[in-house]
Amino acid sequence: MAVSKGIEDAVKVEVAQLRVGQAPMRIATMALGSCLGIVLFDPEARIGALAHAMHPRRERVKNNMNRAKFVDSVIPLLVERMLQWGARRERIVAKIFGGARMFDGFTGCRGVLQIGDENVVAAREVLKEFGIPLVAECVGGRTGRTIVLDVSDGSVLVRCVNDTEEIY
Amino acid sequence: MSPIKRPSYLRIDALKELGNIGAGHAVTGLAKLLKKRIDVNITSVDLIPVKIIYNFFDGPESMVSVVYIEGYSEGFRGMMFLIFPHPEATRLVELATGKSQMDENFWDEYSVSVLKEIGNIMCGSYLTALSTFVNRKLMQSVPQVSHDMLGAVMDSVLVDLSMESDYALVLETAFTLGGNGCKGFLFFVPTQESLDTIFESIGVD
Repeated sequence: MAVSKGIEDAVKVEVAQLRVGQAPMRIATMALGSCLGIVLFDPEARIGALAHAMHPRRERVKNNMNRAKFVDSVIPLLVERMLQWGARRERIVAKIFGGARMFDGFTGCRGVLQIGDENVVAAREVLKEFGIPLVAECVGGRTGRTIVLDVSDGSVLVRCVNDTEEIY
Repeated sequence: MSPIKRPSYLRIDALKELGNIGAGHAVTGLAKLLKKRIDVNITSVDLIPVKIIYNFFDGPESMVSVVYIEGYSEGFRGMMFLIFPHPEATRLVELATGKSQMDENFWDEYSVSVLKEIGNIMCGSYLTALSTFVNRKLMQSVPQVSHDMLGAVMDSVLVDLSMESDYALVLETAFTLGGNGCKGFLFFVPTQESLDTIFESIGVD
């Protein structure tokens, strides 16, 4: 794959999935559009987690068995898993990525093409509710993003389709 | 994940035939637009689960140009994607406009609207064939174009389908344009409800 160079060694998280890991692991998820990549990190224990969520709210969707699919249900799930790995709740910080609007000026039949914005709003709300500080974000816009979390220092590499790379 | 609701073989055959007719119309429309003698080969028409779309390309990160159009009427809704690997879309616009991809700002508003028009004609022809098939008038939305990673473009739209199921039935058409070897894919993704409408109107159980 042309664009995915440099992340062959990283653990991949697919749509509506999540992974938790410890340094020196690298966790990546590819091609976030309106979906939201949620990164939680405990800098002292160097335990990190990444989820690729599709929808903002679980109760609004009929097909809702998979908790990792929804922003509001995956955040508590990530915290729970990180605590099992030995992270401490009060040390966890968050970063969010994605939530773009890939098609402009057009809402689709159910307004779903604006779901990126809703995902971002939901994530901010839920994180606030849980008292998890949001320390970085790269959201919105019209571009897809691939993100790679380096669990050894909590840094997140964001790559867009035109090969621009930034660290958050 | 809920298992795919697999239609009977008779239904699959009916859908494939529908795809064939629609795709035939669509590529004829394209050839007319380009006003060039072009051999259009439809290489396949098939019924596949949505996730497999990635396999036709270089995975979710591959750079594609997508024209997205929705076809709808009462009790019917289908999403149509005309997807080209990005270099192929560039070649297609070159072919249609006589511009060269070496030009500065090749992908200006004009090129984008040419690609939209190609999408409009192809999807329109497809939907016309379909509307004859299901005997109802189908409207189509304004085309939208996005050049980005395949996964990023698709998730915005498939998020809608995933509210009901993690799978959907996709009618896939791959075609190549004669000597230029321009390759593209036309995907038609009807909602479950629309599938039922289709089967009902053509009398296949």
